[in-house]
Amino acid sequence: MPDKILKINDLAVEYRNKGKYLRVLQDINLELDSGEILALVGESGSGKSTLGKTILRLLPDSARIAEGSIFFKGKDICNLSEKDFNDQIRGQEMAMVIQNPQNALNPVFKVGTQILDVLYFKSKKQKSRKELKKEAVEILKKVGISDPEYRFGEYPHQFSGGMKQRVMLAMAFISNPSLLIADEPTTALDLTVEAQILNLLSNLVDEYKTSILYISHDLGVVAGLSDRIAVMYAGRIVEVAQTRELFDHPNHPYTEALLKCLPDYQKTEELQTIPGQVPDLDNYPPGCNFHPRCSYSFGRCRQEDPRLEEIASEHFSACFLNDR
Amino acid sequence: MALVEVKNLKKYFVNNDGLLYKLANKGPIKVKAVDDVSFKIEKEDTLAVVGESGCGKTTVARSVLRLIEPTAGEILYRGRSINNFDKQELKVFREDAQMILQDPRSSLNPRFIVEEIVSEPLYIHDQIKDDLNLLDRVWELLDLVGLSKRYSELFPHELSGGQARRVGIARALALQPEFIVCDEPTSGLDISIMSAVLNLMKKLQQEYQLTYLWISHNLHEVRYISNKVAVMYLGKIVEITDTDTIFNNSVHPYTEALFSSLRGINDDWNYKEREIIQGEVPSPINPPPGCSFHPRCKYSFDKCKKIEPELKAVEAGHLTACHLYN
Repeated sequence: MPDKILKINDLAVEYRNKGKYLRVLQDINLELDSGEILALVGESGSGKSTLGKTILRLLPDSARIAEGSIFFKGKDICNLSEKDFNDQIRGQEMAMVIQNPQNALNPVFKVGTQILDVLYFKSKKQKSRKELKKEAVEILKKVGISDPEYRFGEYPHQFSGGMKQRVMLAMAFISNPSLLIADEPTTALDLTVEAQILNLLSNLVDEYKTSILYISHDLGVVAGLSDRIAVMYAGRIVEVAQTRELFDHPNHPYTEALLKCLPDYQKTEELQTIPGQVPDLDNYPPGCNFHPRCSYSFGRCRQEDPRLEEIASEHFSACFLNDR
Repeated sequence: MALVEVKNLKKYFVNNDGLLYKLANKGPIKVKAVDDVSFKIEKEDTLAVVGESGCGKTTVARSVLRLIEPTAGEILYRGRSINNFDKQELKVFREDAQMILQDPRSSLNPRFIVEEIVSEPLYIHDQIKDDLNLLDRVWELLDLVGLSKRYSELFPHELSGGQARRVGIARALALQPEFIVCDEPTSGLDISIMSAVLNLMKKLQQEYQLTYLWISHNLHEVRYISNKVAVMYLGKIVEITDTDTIFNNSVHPYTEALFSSLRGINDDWNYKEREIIQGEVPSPINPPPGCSFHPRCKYSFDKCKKIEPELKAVEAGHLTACHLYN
């Protein structure tokens, strides 16, 4: 599989809680092509951020990978030592942009200094920071920061939220990563600024041919950005399809219900709701996790776990209705 | 007569604290959070106020209920100015006008059970005949927002975000108000819960002839819930008209920019090809001269840099503040 950047097989992740292990991710199977933007959508608590962190091995000590494997460029990254992972992959081949740019930059260092640090380590400490300054200013300019030479010497609190997220993107792209994990990078931003950042992100992806795992709960944003979408519910991926295919022909009852209850400015009909609530982590129902809220559920849904199966070309869904 | 009328509302926040500022003798910093805003809300209408963060939406909401005192301007409720209400009149006004606060959880007292939270307005306004009826009334209110009786004994931390939001709505309904200010009632809720809350608010409006002032930055939701929209930018209303017009025939360049950033799941365009408005909202401490939108506006000309445009009608019921239309 030379063209697959990322391949996740039967991944399961558990958190330790009061001496017990709780499954937060189960049966995760996912592939990412190079240069592809895959959106991971789901409601809060569905495990989308946990999956992003698992790939970058940023999980806390209380979590463990219980089953499965993650292959990055054909290499099993679950078995790499922490040192090797840090030296070879994290920050080099894989980068991350997080939700809240306020917390991502160090408040007591100048923005320019923080960019220089990344460049300095990228040059394997060969070049001095002075030599790199020109490069850093160039990068700021590229991500659309006006007056970059002046801005270079400012502190994070002097930057607006949108500008901080631009800086984060700049830092993530310095090492020219093959995979960028973006965890809701625009949630804290205003509508027009959000559009600017997503426009910038799309252009950077074009230029660097980076694959992106874009974690979001906003289906509208995802529709304009991603090539494919994976929908998560209660720790499982329930459906994966091309973006337009998913919106036009949702297969899984959860996806279908989610689309019907989404307020959309083009929609005039009554909004629908999904009865019940997302189950608690320590209390997942037997069988399909969605069956208590699903209007189509039948006997088999209460006993067996459905697995992702290809129901049409490149359209995967985990639902027993497709077997009937 | 409009139920609520806001006339030339201004709210400036002044900051002259801090030793360094006093030593530097720079004079007080004035933030024009709301600068000369006027609108009317007719009975049973929903006016949505939209805009980006810092444009003064919440300040308008709070001023309308006199939770903060305006710097200048007048707010009329049923034709009477609430600014001049004495204590007794204000108490009566507070029965009629309620608010649903932005954060579902932190707006509930963590030491109260749901029964106490929902019944507190009834105590304050002496509407309790006896304690037995009180519990019935609480159950009735919870039922109205789709919560069963058992929730009356829970503490806020035992509720999910959606349930906490429903308790907040039940509390606002306790005194049978006719006007409710909703400050981003769906922010932070998941999609499926958000749609349930929107449906509930719409149902309650029809059932009890409620009037809403709806603060939001989610334009999809605005389309669904409101019939009038006011777009705010840097403390001013730049365009106000009914919802259909704003979505189909908006005129102000900022409205155009804001709505073109809007993305529905059925649109066939992507962020790569889209022309996107540049720049960010300037600081309200030091707004640009003339039209405050002119540095970001692609149509701006000389006049925009010098003279502030006034809110004027382009057609009946459609007002905008832009020199292009005068």
